Amino acid sequence: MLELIGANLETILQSTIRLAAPFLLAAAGGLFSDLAGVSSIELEAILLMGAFAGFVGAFFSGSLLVGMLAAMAAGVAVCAIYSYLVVGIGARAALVATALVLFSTGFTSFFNRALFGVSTDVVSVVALSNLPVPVLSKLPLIGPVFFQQNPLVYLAFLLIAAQCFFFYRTMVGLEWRSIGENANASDTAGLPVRRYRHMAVPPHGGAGDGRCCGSGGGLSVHCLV
Amino acid sequence: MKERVKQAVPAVLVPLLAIVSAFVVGAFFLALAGYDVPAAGAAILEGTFGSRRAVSQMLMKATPLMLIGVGVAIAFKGASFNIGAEGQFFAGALGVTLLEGILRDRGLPSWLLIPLLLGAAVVFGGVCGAIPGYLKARRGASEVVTSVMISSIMVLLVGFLVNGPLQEPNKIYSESQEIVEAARLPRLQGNSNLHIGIIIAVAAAVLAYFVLEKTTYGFQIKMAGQNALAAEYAGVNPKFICVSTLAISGAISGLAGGIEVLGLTWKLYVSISPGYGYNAIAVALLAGLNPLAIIFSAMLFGGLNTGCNQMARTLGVPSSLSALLQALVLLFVVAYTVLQPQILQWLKRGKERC
Repeated sequence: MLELIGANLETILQSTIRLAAPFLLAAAGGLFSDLAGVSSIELEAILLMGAFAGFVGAFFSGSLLVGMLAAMAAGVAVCAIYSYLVVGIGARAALVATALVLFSTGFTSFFNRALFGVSTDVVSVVALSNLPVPVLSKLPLIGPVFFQQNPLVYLAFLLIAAQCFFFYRTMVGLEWRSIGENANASDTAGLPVRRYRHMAVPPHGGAGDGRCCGSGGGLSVHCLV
Repeated sequence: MKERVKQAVPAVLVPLLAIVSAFVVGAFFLALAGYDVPAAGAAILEGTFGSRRAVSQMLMKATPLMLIGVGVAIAFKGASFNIGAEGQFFAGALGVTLLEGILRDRGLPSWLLIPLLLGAAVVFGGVCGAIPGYLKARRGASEVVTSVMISSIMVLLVGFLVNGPLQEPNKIYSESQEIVEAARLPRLQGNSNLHIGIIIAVAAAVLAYFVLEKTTYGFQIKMAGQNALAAEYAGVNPKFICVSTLAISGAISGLAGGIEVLGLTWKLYVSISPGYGYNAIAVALLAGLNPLAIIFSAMLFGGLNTGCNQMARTLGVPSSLSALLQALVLLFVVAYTVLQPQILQWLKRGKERC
């Protein structure tokens, strides 16, 4: 039946995993602040700014690594604003998040036009190439699907594994979660609630953006949207 | 008199400071991108007030902002954050288009057709608003998340429909068939562009002000918004307030969508809204959730929109500057509202030193 649409099970599964990676990275990043009790609704803003910064960084420096670092820096910057407003002075998360999302949309659209003009050619950057894992990628079906992806996909899965360990097997993780569940009780128990919450937000920025840069050239279209 | 002025200062302070800050940052971004800031400013002003056509354009842009802003303000006053107004706008536009498609060949007169169509818009929008309300009342689900999700669904649904089942007969453009003459909103006297939507919007704002300030229901909304527990002790049903305010908010946003289709665009397409639903949140907050003030803040934002379009035409500055400025205004309003006591104190100390 798949031959009818000219598709190949392996290709479909491979792209499924590849396309899941951005969601995974963003959600994993958001998890850091969600578990600390700070809702992560402004992920959209972080991803937009990260995508833009990553693309601009990679485009003007010619190096993907610089792009990725720029993306993470942009994400952390947006998060810092969010964290100052929501955790620092206690503004409503929903409103700050909406404002940041609108700001990112306007900012990226404005500077995209300003920097790259309104031409119809898609400006692009060389994207990350696939990195097959030595032995595992030769396995019959799951080989190419899971182990022949670009590094950021591997990073996404590794990050989830790392988070499982961090949040459920370490002391810091436990404190983090308890602040999220009941901030008052945690405060009574002596945990520095605010400090944790401030800390919680930036990593979620960084993780969200590493992925954006990896997607490469298609990003300029994403920014226009 | 002087006492009244003194009392009014805090209320006006935050919006004013927010607008000024937003423009300062906006000017900084303009300069960063290498554009001529004073020329841009002049172009914006010209685009807003320069001609009769500019003013009517401004009012046309302000109409949906005003309506949705009023709806959003009612919900916000009840502490239900209706962020999905964009989807409710699309739902209303969709409702109007669907019903018009059904009633098109009946030859109904305007005075019957238009209210029926707008009624459909209200129902569609109201349902889209009631669902997050119900989920919040029954399950405690965050209405922010649910309304945004439903908003996504509605926008994408419209996108799907105008490319398929609802597409115009020639199948060239991704838009619905143009509505019949009888369904179009009448224009104001002596002006070829302005439709009566602006009158409906202003009337809705005045009505909302009246309901919020002079009726029991409005008082209940405000009570539930400030302190749901205390309100419950006072005999208010916070769940009913939650569902009803979100339903009303959705209904008004839907009405805005219907008016946009019947009055301005005469057909449904995906880009019918340049983010009206989200900008209306900024409009409402800038006006301090006061429906009468929303009339003016909507005109301000409408003016910003048309002004920036003009600026894009004459100077080549990207028109997304207006989206940027509006977002900055929202950001500063939110920040300054929380910091209001500190700002007032800082100003008082400044006065004492002088």
